[in-house]
Amino acid sequence: MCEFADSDISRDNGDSLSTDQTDGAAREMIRAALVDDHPLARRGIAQILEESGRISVIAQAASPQELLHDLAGGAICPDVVVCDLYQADDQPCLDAVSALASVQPTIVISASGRPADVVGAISAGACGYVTKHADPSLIVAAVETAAAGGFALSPHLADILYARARRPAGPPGPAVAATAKLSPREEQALSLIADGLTHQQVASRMGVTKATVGTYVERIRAKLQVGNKAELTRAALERLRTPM
Amino acid sequence: MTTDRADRGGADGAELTLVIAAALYCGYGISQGLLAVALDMSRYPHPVPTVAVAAAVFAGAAAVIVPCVRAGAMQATLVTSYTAVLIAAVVLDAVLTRPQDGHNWTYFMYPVSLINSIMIGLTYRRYLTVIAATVALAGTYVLAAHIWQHDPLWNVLPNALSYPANTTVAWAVGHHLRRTGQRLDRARAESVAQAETAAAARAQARSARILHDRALQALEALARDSRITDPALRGHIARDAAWLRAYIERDPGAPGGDLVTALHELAQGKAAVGLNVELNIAQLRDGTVSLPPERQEALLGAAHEALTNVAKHAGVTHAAVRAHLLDGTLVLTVVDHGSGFTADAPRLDMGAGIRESIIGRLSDAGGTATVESTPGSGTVVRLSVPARTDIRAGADQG
Repeated sequence: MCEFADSDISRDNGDSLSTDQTDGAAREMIRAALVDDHPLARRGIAQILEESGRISVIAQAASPQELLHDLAGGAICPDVVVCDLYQADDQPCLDAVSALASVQPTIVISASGRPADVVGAISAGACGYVTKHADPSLIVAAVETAAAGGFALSPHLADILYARARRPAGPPGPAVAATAKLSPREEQALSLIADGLTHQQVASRMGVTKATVGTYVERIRAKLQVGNKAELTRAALERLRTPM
Repeated sequence: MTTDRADRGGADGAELTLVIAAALYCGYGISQGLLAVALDMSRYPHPVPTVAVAAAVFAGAAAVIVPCVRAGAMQATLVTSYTAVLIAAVVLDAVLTRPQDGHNWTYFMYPVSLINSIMIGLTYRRYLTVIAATVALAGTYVLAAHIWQHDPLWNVLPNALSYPANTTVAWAVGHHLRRTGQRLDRARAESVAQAETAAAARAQARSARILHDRALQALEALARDSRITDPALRGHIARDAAWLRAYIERDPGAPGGDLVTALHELAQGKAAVGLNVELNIAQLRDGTVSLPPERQEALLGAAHEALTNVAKHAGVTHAAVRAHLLDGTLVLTVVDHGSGFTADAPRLDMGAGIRESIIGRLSDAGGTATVESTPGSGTVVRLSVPARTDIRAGADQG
């Protein structure tokens, strides 16, 4: 099993979402693994990540099972997994996301995601969601945030979460259990992030520090991922060990 | 012959039910008549003509009922003719069996015509016609029974009331049954139409998913693949990708259709000039936003201005457009992380021009706009207009 670096709480995750690179010390290359059954899309994402100069794609798989197998064997050791939300059929691969997320930080990606599926993926343990046609810098930023253990709350994801939070109470979607309500400040931060502002910009608008915004982001994540992470892990791994 | 028709519900089934009822009543009337004639024949003063009249009546009944059963519906012309036969028979029988003195109980046409009058109620749609026929028949009975059978009026009149009782009840039942049948047919037609619409929508959704799982991903990946070295070619591909995305994500039946479509078209237009616009409008897709046309025009015009300025001056290839709803206000933000501008920048007039045109347009339409920019950090344009919203609870849009 790979060693999972604990998230560095003092490091500011918000900066990753801006194009500002003045944050100093040279970092090691981030090792990323891609899972996508669409070869052209896989190549495109790999290219985007590699072109950043900070990420090295060490493995590409056409299915989550393939990657999990390689991970279990210890053959590869990525820092971040980028997994397509929809594999072969039209169903979101939530179990696979859960299993992958229990091993390494996992970003979910797709050409276009149904909001219920996206929220389901986050609840299943994914630490971020980006669309494939997003600006390359956003995709790179999400991977960097995930590698550092943070929650990659892209504007697109934030917009989806905000719309869901503001929806009047109705029957919850199949993949989403009842989620805890967000506080007004958390909702405001979510909305500003959805607009596309950096954490610094959000902080100055709300009159708080960047660190506080980071806290809001983590709280939002916690409210979405109710339940013990270890529990999710065990259950998901069990389900995936049985042949499909 | 009639078995397959019996499976039909609706108006056809109702008609068939009424025909069967008429046939049964008719059959009963004939049986009763046959019995009466058989038992009373010996007492007829003129047996042969009397039996002939009876035979004509019975045969006439069959002549009406059989074609009606074959057609699956009561035939008004046949029934009208038969009513005339009944009226004639009522008179003839009264004359032929008239008693020399007192009452002889051989007037079989009263019960026979009474039973057969039910056919009248079951056939005619309009109650007025039913009443007309009933009055003709009942009136003839009153006259015939009183004049030739010497039946006292205090006996004949109450007897005569049985005719309208029969025909009215029969008419009411037939009317209700027919109406119910029509309603059933209408409901069936509606549900078939709905099923067809649903099937079409599902087919459309399926083909949309197929399209974007393969074609859209391929196009979007190609649009940014550096191995395609001609920027014009990449621009073409980007434009087609944006069109395909808009086509798939846009649903004319979906709520907020107009505004969502317009925003997609805005994004498409910018993709063609190399500006990648990220549209984050999850709340718009959730529900219905009502914007009067002038306000929507102004909003979109302002957004277009803002994006044009990003494309021309910000020096970035990416901008984010987001729409959300808050307390009766639709807020559209355009954010870029480009070079930004200040009042002191060389593009002073450009900066003021932006503010004026964007803010001016919007305030004319009852909205507000703010433009904030910091050199090196980018620009945030925030456009607000009042809007009526109607978010459906529990709605799940893709």
